[in-house]
Amino acid sequence: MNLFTSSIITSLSMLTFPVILTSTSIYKSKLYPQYVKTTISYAFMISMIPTTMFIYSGKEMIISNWHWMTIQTMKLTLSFKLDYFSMIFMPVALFVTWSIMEFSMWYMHSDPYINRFFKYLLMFLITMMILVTANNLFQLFIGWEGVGIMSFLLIGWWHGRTDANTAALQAVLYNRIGDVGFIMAMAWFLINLNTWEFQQIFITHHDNLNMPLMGLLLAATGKSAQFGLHPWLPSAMEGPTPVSALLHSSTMVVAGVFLLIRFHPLMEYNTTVQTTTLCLGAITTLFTAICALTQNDIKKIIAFSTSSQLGLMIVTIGINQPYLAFLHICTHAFFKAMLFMCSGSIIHNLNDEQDIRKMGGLYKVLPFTTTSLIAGSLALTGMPFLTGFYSKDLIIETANTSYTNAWALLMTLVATSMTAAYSTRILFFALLGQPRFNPMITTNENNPHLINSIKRLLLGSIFAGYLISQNITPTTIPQMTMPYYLKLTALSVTLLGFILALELNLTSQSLKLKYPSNLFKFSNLLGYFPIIIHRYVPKMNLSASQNLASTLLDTIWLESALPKSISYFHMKSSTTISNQKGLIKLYFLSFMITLILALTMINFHE
Amino acid sequence: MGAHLARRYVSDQSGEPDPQRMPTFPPDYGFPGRKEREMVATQQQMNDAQLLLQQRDYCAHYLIRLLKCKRDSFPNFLACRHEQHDWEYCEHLDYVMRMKEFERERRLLQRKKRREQREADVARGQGPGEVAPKVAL
Amino acid sequence: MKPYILVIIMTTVMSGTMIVLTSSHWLLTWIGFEMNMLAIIPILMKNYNPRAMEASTKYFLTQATASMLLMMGIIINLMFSGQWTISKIPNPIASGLITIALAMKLGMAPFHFWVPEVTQGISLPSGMILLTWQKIAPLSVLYQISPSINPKLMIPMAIASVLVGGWGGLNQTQLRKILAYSSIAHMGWMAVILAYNPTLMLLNFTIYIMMTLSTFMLFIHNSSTTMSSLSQTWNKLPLVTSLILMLMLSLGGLPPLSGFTPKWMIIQELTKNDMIILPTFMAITALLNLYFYMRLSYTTTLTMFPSANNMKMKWQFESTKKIILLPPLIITSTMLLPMTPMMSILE
Repeated sequence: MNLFTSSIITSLSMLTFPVILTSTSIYKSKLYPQYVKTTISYAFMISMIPTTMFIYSGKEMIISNWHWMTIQTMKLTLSFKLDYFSMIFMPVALFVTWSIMEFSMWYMHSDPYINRFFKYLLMFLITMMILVTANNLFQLFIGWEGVGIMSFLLIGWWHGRTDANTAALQAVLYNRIGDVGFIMAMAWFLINLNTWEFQQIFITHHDNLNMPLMGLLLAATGKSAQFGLHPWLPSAMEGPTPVSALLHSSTMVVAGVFLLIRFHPLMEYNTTVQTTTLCLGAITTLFTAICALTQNDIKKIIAFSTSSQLGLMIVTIGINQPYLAFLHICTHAFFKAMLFMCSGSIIHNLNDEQDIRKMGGLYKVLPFTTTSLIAGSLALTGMPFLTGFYSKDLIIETANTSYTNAWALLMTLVATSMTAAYSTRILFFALLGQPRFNPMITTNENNPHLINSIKRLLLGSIFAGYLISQNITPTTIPQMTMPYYLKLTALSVTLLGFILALELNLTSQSLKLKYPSNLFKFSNLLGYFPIIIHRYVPKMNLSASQNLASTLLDTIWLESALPKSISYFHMKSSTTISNQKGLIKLYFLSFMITLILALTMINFHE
Repeated sequence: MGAHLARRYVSDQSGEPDPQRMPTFPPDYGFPGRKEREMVATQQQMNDAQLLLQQRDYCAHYLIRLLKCKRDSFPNFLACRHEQHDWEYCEHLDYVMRMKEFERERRLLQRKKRREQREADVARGQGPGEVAPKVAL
Repeated sequence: MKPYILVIIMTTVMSGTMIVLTSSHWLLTWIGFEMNMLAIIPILMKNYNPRAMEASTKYFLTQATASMLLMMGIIINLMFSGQWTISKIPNPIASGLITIALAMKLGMAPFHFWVPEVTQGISLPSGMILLTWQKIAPLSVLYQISPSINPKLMIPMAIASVLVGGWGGLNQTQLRKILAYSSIAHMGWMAVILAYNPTLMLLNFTIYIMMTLSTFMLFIHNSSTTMSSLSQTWNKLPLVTSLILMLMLSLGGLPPLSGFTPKWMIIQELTKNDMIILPTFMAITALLNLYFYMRLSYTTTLTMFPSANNMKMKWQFESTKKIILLPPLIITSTMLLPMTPMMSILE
């Protein structure tokens, strides 16, 4: 009993020590990264204790201490919810972060501010832990904003580059749109249910929950890069690769999905929000898969693949399977982080080359990276008995046998097929064929930091799914009954994607399209989304503002309509009035006319 | 994602049962001696096992057995294959039964529609006369 | 012109006006007008040149027409009422004719065309008499017949005068023309209140005469007829520049100067008569006048126009001209506002 809470608290508070130590001389030494990494590995091991206890006995806990403040009848406390989700996710996140920290020691070794980088990563991890273990909306919000801020700082790590700054701003702005939803939901709960505690929210009955759920869905859309608010995720690839691996694949971006999982008890019986979630997820997974198909930047492909997988998780929530979505979060963390690390290895070895057209033949020079990349890609596509299989296959089977929106499910299937296609594209262009990179570059992957970190995640990518799905207590009723063709759908569409992509890629070596087709342009230009939303809408906004404020108000109303027209009118009147030619005949004529008019009007008017 | 979905979209929707509002006919309609299904696991047992709400179905007793087995042979997650299979097989049978119920509901709905059509015809003065065997059902 | 002839002519001008003021018989009034008009012509022609000839001819023609119309009005009135006494005029045509005749004599719009041209054509002292003394007789008659004046005739004329006075002055650089238009505008203000409160008309007229007299005297003292010559005042008579500023603002009717008194009273009186739009309009139109007065003071006082170096010595020389009347006039035409409560002496 006490071991459970004490080890959790130990594990969590351990993470803060390196942050506290930034005020000491250790922060200035070269040992700091090592220290951070070791701390996280210890935290991971310690966090395994309560997780094991949870797996054994299914025990869930809430640590509620430090009553913070009471506002009228609402109590705000610092409390940690140690349930199924946080107990499974904590070791996973710590394990992945551990590997990424070690990887960063290799990837960022020449960075002058590597210590600060590690501190940022660690602070990110702490906020992520707060988010995951939060038991009330306020604490969740702290974690939520914390990961947002750290994401902003880490994407803009190379702040000397315009693109990095733009991407950081983009991320922070899109996330603020999502926060609008989050804060709206918080306000709604405060007004209607008078509580921010999860348990109290879930047990309180309310007739119409559309409003807060839509707000939460908007929040998840922003954080998890769902369609409409997705462009920040591929742009975030401007950050260092470890950041992409940690924040934008395995931990931070799943926070939105995690939020929806947390609030699933409210969503369960609300079909409107369920359907919206399902369609949103389906659109996201298909759209981002399409975008991934024609990208040439290796990190962008993986980023879009992440977005697509996030869409799949949202679909899973949309078909009422939060546990499956959570399982996918956990398995996805392993192989996606590893894919990013492999791409980081390639990029670093090729002297910061990210274009897959300039790679090729890497299987000779980077055998271990190649192996891991292939294993990760296969896991991503859901190849049987790799990690991805245990969640993805289940999701697709459950979706196929459910009785919801067939259109959305079909889109998801197409996206699943495309997963294989773009994975093939990375493998084909980066690893196979002839080298197309600069021959003078000396590639070297024999660094223990690189090898060990990728190795750990490779093991995770292969076995984690099996271990997790075997160990955890059954949380849903597995979908066991379906015809053979349905059972084989997920596998067959994936294979179809592989084969088609392989054929197309082989074709591309000998044939070339004269003009890029419209479909290609749609995919390559990310569905015209950035052009429309990032160019056209601001342009319209700015020009409308200019028209309204400057042209309409300033130059028309405040200038032409009043001052200019008045002065013009008076100028004209003045010249007309004072334009006398001294013609006395005309004066007398006007006298006569006035006289006649005046006299007749006086006489006959009255 | 099966035929029923396609039918819902393509053909007349009124003959399709809504899976979330089933059954609309009495369970023993056409089955005079039909017995109610027996729930093996008791409420107390399920509470003790801390089962989730959606797991408290007719196969819950298998699940309880599986959970107990898993806990008994804790570090060895490969044990309890049989218990796992029993539970999943029970769930499979349950699924098949639910599908059958769905089909029954669908057919009953369609029959009800046909009968109403026939009654309407009679009411309009077009006597029974020659009735096709399909309609006569 | 020989001095005794000037004396005779001036006496005739004065006595003509006096006859109009004192007479209660229409015929005598008319005779007074004729005497005044005939006597003023030589004064206008004092500088004997074609421009002055033209101006006095124009003046003669309009004044003669006005006298004729006045006579016609008097006769129609005689026809209907059978008496020559200046009292209520029952016949609207007679009243209208008399009003128009007097308006023509005063130079109110739309009978204003002669005012700027005549004023521009004659010398500054003649202009001063034309724009001040010559207004006394017609206004006194208007004051006497004010109960019979049709406001529907008078107010449009007043509005037109104010507008013409404002707009016409905007475009001018000649000081006499500016003062002529200023006079038209002031006539408008007097006309608008005439039917409601003739005393205020008198007040306005008194203050107008003071301001116009002092302005003209300053210009005469300075021998300026254009804005550009006035703009060199600063290195000739530095003190006069500041006086010009005060006078111009007073003419424009800016508080707390004398010119504000009649405007304030008139607006108040009109408002008391349930008129909101008319006084608002008049006040706004007064801004046009204020604008060109401001422009005048801007060139004169507020900026220092470039001038040759030898010009800058002039301020040291003492002026030989006598300016006995100017100080009291300037004081009254700028500082009379606190005396407003004494307005009742006009009643």
